[in-house]
Formats: sequence, structure tokens, C-alpha cells
Amino acid sequence: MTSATDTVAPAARPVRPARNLWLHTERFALLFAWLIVIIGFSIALPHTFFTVGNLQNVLGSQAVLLVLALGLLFPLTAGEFDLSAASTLSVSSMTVAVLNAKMGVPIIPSIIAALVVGILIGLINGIFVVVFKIDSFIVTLGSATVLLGIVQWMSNSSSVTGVDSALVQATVGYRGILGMPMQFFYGLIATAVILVVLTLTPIGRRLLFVGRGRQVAELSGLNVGRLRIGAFTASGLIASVAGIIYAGSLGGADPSSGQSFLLPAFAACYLGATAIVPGRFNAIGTFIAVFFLFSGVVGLQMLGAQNYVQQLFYGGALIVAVALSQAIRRQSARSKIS
Amino acid sequence: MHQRFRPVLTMAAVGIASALLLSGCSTETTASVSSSTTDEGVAYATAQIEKFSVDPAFTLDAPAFPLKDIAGKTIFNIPNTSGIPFIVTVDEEAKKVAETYGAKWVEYTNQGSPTEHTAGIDQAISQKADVIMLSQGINGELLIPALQRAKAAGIPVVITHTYEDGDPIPDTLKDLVAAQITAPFNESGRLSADWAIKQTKGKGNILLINTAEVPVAQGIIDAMKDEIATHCPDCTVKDVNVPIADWATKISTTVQSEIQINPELDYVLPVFDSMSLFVEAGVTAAGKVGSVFTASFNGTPAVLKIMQDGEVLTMDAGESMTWLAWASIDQVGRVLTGSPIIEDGAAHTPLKVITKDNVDETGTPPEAGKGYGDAFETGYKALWGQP
Repeated sequence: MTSATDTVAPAARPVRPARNLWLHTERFALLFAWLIVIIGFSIALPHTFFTVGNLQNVLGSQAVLLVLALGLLFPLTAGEFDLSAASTLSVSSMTVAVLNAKMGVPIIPSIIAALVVGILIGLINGIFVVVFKIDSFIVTLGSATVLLGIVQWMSNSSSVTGVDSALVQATVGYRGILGMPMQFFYGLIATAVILVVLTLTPIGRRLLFVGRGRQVAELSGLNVGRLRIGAFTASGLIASVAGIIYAGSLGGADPSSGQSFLLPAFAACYLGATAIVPGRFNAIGTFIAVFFLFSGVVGLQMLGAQNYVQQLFYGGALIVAVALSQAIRRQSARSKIS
Repeated sequence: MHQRFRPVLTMAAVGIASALLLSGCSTETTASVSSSTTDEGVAYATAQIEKFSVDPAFTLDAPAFPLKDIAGKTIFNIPNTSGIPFIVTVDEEAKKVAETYGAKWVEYTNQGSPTEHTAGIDQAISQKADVIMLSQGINGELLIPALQRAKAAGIPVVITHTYEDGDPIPDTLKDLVAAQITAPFNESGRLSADWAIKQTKGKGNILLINTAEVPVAQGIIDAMKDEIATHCPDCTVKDVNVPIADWATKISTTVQSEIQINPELDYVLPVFDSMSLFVEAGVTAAGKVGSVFTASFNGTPAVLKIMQDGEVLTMDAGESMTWLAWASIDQVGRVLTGSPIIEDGAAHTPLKVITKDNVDETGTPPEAGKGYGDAFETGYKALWGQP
């Protein structure tokens, strides 16, 4: 099976000035595309799209997807897939809801329990992948299904509402800074933290080595097994954070809707890998991808486009962006030769 | 796309629609007087089926109001999901009526997640809508923070086609929702049970298929059980649960297994008609076409086509999509014009028993809203006046 890191092209290397232009074009193409989307819809819908309220809506409502996608960067960088991330999100949000709203456990211990659950899920995934040498795609596909069953059992297949209003306030209720809900800032903080971890710490570099060449990394003396388990654990932990934000944003939890985040999260990761550091999964690219896609969807919604048009945009943007990225890369290579 | 997959996808889509009927828990409907003998039970069930087999009458008794006063107002509609033909059709009809009376209709297309519904409410606030409609099964209890923002912005919210007739708006939403329109979900369960009692002459061996994550589904199942217990002393009944995500893979195999376990099985009653295709596949695979039948609820045109073409689905308790749309606009219009609302939300949107005998009245192939008569048009126009 193709590993996660094999699906995107190699990272940028030091280049000549001629090639530099192409690389810069590639690095910021997605950002430009986002700006074009914003400008285009602002012209078409000046009274609805180009408003402060809509800006707050676009930026303030995607924290759950953003955080979930950011968590996926760890296993993807290490060359693994974590298909259980959305299920972990569901388990986490339901843990908070059941403990707090149904069983009367205070909100802080409920949140801690959800975080512990996320860590355990990631740890178990990692152990199965590394110790039992099972492909991560299969392990996490299985664990995702098991977790969904657990969510159904925990919730008795029903929505659980009535989560402590303190969590609601802490995610979407309080809008003191720029009128934005706090969850936007959590997404921003998560982006910054993961950017630092993946690019400026030895762990991030080692994960990248593992993702690019596991055997070479082993021969270099890296503890590859531990790093891979760590990547899954980080993904589980961050998915559980996304679940806590989700529970706060809904004021409860429901057993099925968490799954709807899985494919958009992967789409954001892969789309983000065409930007900023082309060819490498990266936090800022993922951030831009999430909001680029959502801006387009909101604009289409406001234009009254049918649902299928949004799906065409979502899927089409991903394919076109990756294809253009590859085309620019080839052009860049030709420039280098000439 | 290959033709043979289309019905399956449609079923899956409408399956999600049912999932979308996420509502507050239903209460038990009022049971009728118990039938002490099988004959009495069959007579009762037959009378019920006959009563619901005719074109429904317009029975809403509500104060008239000038719907034309909604002219210039913005109705921001958030459907449960835009992926379900049933929901989309109802919304299109509602839009037509709203625009006829001069209102602006904003359709917030989405794929059915609470996150999108929340974003939709925020969009409505930023667009300064005059009213927000949460249509057809949105679980408002998962949108409380957004509903609080709508309330703070002074935008009233109307919930449609989500809660059972007679059920109040949940306590947690009472202060956040201006009005609702309810539907006779549980009555559909009673009609399915009555049909099975009538067809089996009071000796039915009946399997109920629940999908428990949809709260109205549990109410429908409870109503079916109550109807059978009350009017069919010689019937046997068993219920199984199949989660929505497993409809395509589990319903068919469950039906086959149940037929193996219980060869005397006569009727399979899934709560929503979108499950019927899979029931039919299971019955066919078990070689029981002609001896095991199914009946259900919704009147989805694609499912009625299955009734026209096949032998397994014999009854569908249909809802008129057009009627539902007009009922929604009626309540929204009352909120927008400050007229007296229908307090309990019971708009008397009816059910009609559709069988092999009258399914062609819905069109060949069946069309949305066709086959239910036009009593609602006359009735609502009398309440609303001219545009």
C-alpha cells in the first residue's frame, strides 16, 4: 500500500533564482486562490458575503475541522493513515456529554476523561500498527468502526444535550475578541503549536524522516516504532480536543455527525500540502485549505447553488490544486535543467 | 452512474433524511379502545385503513391572516440536509408559495451536520433575515448556542416537521423557538400495524424494523406495538434495530435471517419507507416473494414506484410534500406578520394510505405531492387571502 507521504511530491530543496519564482508561485498559489474566491464572491455578493458578520461566520465555525485536520498531520507526516480520527472525535464529544450532562460529572474532569480516552485510542492504534505490524489503514479502519459502536452504546444511539454552559461559553458563547468565538482562537493556537512541533523541534524532523524512509530512519538510529506510536497518540489526543470543542459548539453530542469530518479533514491536509511548504504536510497550508474550502462553500450557499455544486467545488478544488502543484513542479524542474 | 445503483443511493439519501428527523422523544399516542377478539381487531383495522384511503380533507381551524404582509421579508430556510429529494421538494414548494406572496427565500443548502446548521444560523444573522426556518428534522437541542445568538439578534425561529403531533417544543428550546409545525409520525406506525392486522386477518407474524437513533422512530415503533397489542390478540411481534449507517448492508440480511428463524413471518414493518427497498431485497433473496410483505411510512415517490412495480411493498402511509410546504409557510407567515400562531403546531398535515389500488393516483411514475387532492390549496387560500 502507498504510504501517506508517498502521495505528495518531495519537499523543496535549495534552488536557483529561476526556479525560485516557480516555487514561490506554488507556495502561495492556494493563498491566492483563497483571495480570488473571497474577492469573487465579495463582488458577486457585496451585501451578504463581504460583511463582518460573514467573515466572523467563516472564520469562527471551522475550528473542529481545523483541529481534527491538524491532528492528522502527525500520522501523515510519519507515513501513516489514521482513519479513526473522526470516530475518536465522536467518542470524545460523547464522553464529555455523557459524563457531564447525563452523569453529573463536573466539566473539567469530563474534559480530562475525554483527553485520556483520545490518548488511549491513539496509543492502541499505534501499538497495533507497530507491534503487530499491521497496516495503519486496516488498523484504524477497524478501530474507527469499533469506536462508532462504542459511541452508539454510550449514547443509546441518541443525541445527548445539556453540556455545562461553561464549555459552550468557552467555545462559541463568548465573543469578546474581534467578535470571534473562542474556538477560532483555539484553532489558531493549535495551528501555531503544531507548526512549531513539526518544523522546529527534533520530533517533527524525525517524524518526517520516518515518513520519507522508514528503513533509512531506522539505520540512522531513530526509534522508529516509538515515533510512529507517538504520531498516532498525538492524532488521538488532538482528535479528542476537536471532540471537546465539538461538544462545546453544539452544547451536546450526537452519535453520528462526527463522521462527516473525516474526508474534509483529509482533503484539507492534502490540499494544504500543496501550499507554503509544497510537497509536505504542513500546519499553515492546512489552515489555509480549511478556510479556502469553506469560503467557497459559503459563497456557493449564498448564491443559492445546489448541494452538488458545493461537492463539485470541494472535490474539484482538491484535484485541481494537487494537479496544478505537480504541473508547477514539473515546470520548475525544466527551469532548473535549462 | 449505473442505473441499478440509483435506487440504492436514493434509499440511502432518504435514509439520512430519516436520520435527520432528529427530534425530541415522542410520547405514546392515545390508544383506541381495545379489541377483545380477533374479528373486532380486524374490523377496527379495516375501518382505519378505509378511513385513511381517501383524499384528506382540510381540517385546520385557525384564524385567517393576510399572508401578503410577508412581502419584502426574508425567510432563511435551513433544511436538515439538501441531499434528500423529499426535503428538497418540500422546500422548493415552500419557496414558490413564499415568493408568490412577495417574500424573499434564502435556501441554505447543506449536507446535514449540526456544524453546518450552526453556520447557517450565523449566516442568517449576518444577512439580517426576518425569520429562520429549521426544516424537517433538525435537532434544535444541538444548536442551542446558535439559537441564543439568533434570539439576541431578534430573529424568530420556526421548527417544522420535526416533532410528533401533540408533543411540545422541548423545554430547552422553549425560549428560543417562536413556533413549530408538527407531524403525525406515530399515526403512521398505527396505520402500518393496522394494514398488517387487516391483511393477515388478525393472525400476523410481524417483524418491526427500528432505527433507534432517530427519536421519532422509537415513537413509531411504540405506536406499532401498542396498536398490535390493542387490536390483534393473535398476532406475534418482534422488533430489531438497524442503525442508519447499516441500512444498505444489514436490513436485507436481517430480514433473511429472521425469515430463516421464523418461517411463518408475514409482515415486515420498517419505520421509514426508504428502508423498504432493502426489505424487498431480503424477502426476494429468501425466496419469500408472495408470502412475506412490507408496509411503511412517508410516501416517497421512488418507493411508490417500487410498489407499482413489485409485490412486496403493499402499503405506504404517505405524506403530501406540497401540503407540508404550505403548512410551514402558514406558520412562518403568522410569525412574520405578528398574527396568532398555531400554538401547539398541529397543522393537521394528513396521511393517506397508498396501496396497489390507488398508487397510480400518485402518477406513473409517482410524483411529489400528487394523489392527495387539493383541499389544502382551497383551505389555505381561504385563510391567507390573495397575494
